[in-house]
Amino acid sequence: MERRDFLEFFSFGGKKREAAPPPPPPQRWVMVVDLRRCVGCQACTVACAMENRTPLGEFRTSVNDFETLEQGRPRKILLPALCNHCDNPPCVPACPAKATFRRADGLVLVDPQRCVGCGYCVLNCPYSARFLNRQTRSADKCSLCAHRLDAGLLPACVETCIGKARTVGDANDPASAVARLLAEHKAVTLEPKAGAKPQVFYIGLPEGMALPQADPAAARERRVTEETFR
Amino acid sequence: MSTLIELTAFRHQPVWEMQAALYLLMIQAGAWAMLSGLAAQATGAERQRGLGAWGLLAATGLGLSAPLNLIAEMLGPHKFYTLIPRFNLSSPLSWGVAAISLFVLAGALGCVGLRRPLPVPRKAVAGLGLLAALSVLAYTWFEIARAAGVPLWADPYASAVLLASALPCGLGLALWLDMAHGGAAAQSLMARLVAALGALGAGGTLAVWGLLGSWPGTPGWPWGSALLAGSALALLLAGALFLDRPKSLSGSLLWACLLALAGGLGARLGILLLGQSAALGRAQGEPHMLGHADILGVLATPALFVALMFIASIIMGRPAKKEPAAPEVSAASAAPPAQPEAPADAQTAHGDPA
Repeated sequence: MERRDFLEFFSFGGKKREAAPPPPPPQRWVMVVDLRRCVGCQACTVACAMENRTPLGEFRTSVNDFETLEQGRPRKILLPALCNHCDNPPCVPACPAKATFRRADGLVLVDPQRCVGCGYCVLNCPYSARFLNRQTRSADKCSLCAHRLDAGLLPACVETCIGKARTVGDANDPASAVARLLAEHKAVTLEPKAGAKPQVFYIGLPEGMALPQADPAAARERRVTEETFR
Repeated sequence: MSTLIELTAFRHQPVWEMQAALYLLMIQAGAWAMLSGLAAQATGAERQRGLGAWGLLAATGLGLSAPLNLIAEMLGPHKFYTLIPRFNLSSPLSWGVAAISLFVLAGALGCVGLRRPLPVPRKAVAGLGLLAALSVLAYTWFEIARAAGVPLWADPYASAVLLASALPCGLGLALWLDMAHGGAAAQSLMARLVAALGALGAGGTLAVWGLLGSWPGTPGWPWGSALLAGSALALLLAGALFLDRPKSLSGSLLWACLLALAGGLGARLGILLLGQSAALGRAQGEPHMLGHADILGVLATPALFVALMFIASIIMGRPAKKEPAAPEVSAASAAPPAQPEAPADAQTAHGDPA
């Protein structure tokens, strides 16, 4: 016990020691994609390719374009796809070199120095978000622009989105934009049955929509034609 | 709500192509060859001695040459050695590295034991070989079945077809090598029956899997279904040919082996590429048959296996180093035996004059 503490302890009317404030919850980066705002311009695809210098023909994120039939009417869905930075990522335990890891703030990253390029993480991603980068000789995927987030900047795709469809932020901060969006809207994740607990949330995604890769036996050759509505 | 059409989709390339298929065929066939050799040695029958030896030799040759396919397909083959110190308990590939290392060690010890005495008991080497072969088969099963991103592989039929189709390949190779060196193990009905059951089981499983509707019509690669149907047919034909008693090297056994190998490779190529194409949603594109390897790169590992078997053939043709006989301890041998005087015209066993 220090002298000041000793005197305070035996003094009358000494001020009460205030309890230390609880530590703030750890940061948890999530992305919310509002499909009602996406126009499918692929600006995010190009911005990501320029920021991260992905090889020709390979993309860390892209906007996929689906046409579905909902209650007998065709509906077009623009679905931005990227790594879901899952809470329970299947790619991390699958990596034999421990090159894929999950950071404390929730980002799932790849260490290219450790990666041997075996491709097993690509085969373990339920969202087909990974690919083998033959330039860096390692597995590659969206890092949510971790280098930009660490520097206090927004990811390239978020910054360039003309419809403001993509929002990134700390889900543990109640004042953040993503926390407000998640509280105000019904946001869903892709393929919840995979059990990966993805951290990319979609607003406006039709319920029960299965990605094509989730059901390989599903017929996808059907075309929406005039006969469909007769 | 059902997904009907993908209008625009940026898709990635498949990652496991021809060399992965070849790797799986060689390492699983090697494991079955090891098990066949150990089973033949365990019977102790004179006719199975050749199968016991050539099963071990083929397994070691396949165990040495198969991982080169895996290393060649990696983007960073120079970092392969880092997989050993960074062992990840939850990764089937880490277990695979350990299983293959054990497999090659057990095979090498078993091969040395064929020619000279070993410092360790033969039963311990056989036990190690059994454990290693079973580990290789188990790891390859989980490697395919636990790939969360490829729904077609999660079906147990896929792993069962891969495992069963390797049995006629491994056992058939060992039988053929034994026959080429004058052995008679291929005349044994039991060995041919096991190989036939493996081939018929694999072909039948593949056909049933197709009839259930899992792989026909799988999107992504229209030729994948045709390849799998052809593989099922090849395996069924191989099974029928294995039941025929072989009379010469160019007879039914050779054709059975070739058909089993073709069916095994086709089944692997079909399952790997079709599964990945469907998972990646490549509705328009087809995977490359050879992947990123060239034809010489793909042929290199089978050529290495042939070269290793050629070297083994030369070594096995030489007389073996015998273990020193234990001195007999008996009352009769306690006294020095009387040396009969050899007649002047007596000859030794080699025909030399005494």
